[in-house]
Amino acid sequence: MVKPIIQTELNFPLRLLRWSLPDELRECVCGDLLEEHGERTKNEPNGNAGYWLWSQCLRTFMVFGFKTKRGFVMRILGFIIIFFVIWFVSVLTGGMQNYINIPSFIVVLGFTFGGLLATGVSQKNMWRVALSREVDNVLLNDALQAWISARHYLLASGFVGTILGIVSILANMDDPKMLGAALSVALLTALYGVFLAYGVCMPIQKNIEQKLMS
Amino acid sequence: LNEKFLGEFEQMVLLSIIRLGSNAYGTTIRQVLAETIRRDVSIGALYTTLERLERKGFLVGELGEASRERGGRAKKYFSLTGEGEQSLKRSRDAMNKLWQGVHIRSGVLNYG
Repeated sequence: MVKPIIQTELNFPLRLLRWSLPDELRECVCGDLLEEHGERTKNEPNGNAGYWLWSQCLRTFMVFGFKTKRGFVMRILGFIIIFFVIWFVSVLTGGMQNYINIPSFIVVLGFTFGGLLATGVSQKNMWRVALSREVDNVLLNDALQAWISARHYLLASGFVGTILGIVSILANMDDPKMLGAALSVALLTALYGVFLAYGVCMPIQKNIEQKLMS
Repeated sequence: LNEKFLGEFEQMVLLSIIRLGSNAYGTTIRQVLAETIRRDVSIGALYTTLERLERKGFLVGELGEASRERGGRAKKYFSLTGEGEQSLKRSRDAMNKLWQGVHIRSGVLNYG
């Protein structure tokens, strides 16, 4: 006789589900699923119990996740849509490799990083606040100013890259090979700057503002 | 006059709880629904309905014992209140009245 698997620790789908459930339902819903999963493991040894558990957890997550963790779920959904649109457009226009330009990355990240250092912004606090739940208001205010500065520097870096690219084009008008590379830097730096400023910094900034207001 | 009637799934859940008696909790209610009417509902959809019925005062929930099979987590037993029973009877009476005079002839529903 096959012994039922007694599972006391929560695996990933159950942990995800537990996180999305309201406090009063956490114990009973997880307990119900563990109990039925144990019975199914005993009766269906071909592995269907695992699929059943995943299906139950995801279906239940869809019911409660949008209610209890609406802000977080919407933020993740927003990021997915942003990345999907960029990926889709890049595929339609010749592939992702056309949009990868190392000099442009260096200009954007180098200018922003340098700018933040020069203005004395604490980058450690920026990430601590973005990734942690329990932080005080002083730290939140510091981080908010830092993320606003980062957004401004990213937009400015796009502008700087465009200027550098145009100067390089004008200086190499006789060399057609250099024109393409310089034009790439000019346009892609602006794209990276705008993408990081509005696709990454803005959502984090809004999240911190919401934390401060609550 | 403005009595509110229970939805189809709410009636099914309440009837399952009556069938189960003192052993009505999430897993067993789900199993009764699956075995009796072949409706495989997610535990989330079930608890949403149970919570709604509890809020309306048709059900009471009570935490029970924890067991090893449940990873040490407590069960939540449900039972009908008087108001829940009345509401269920009212819904059944309403359906019975509407069905009166409706016949199936050659697989087609007809009135009269």
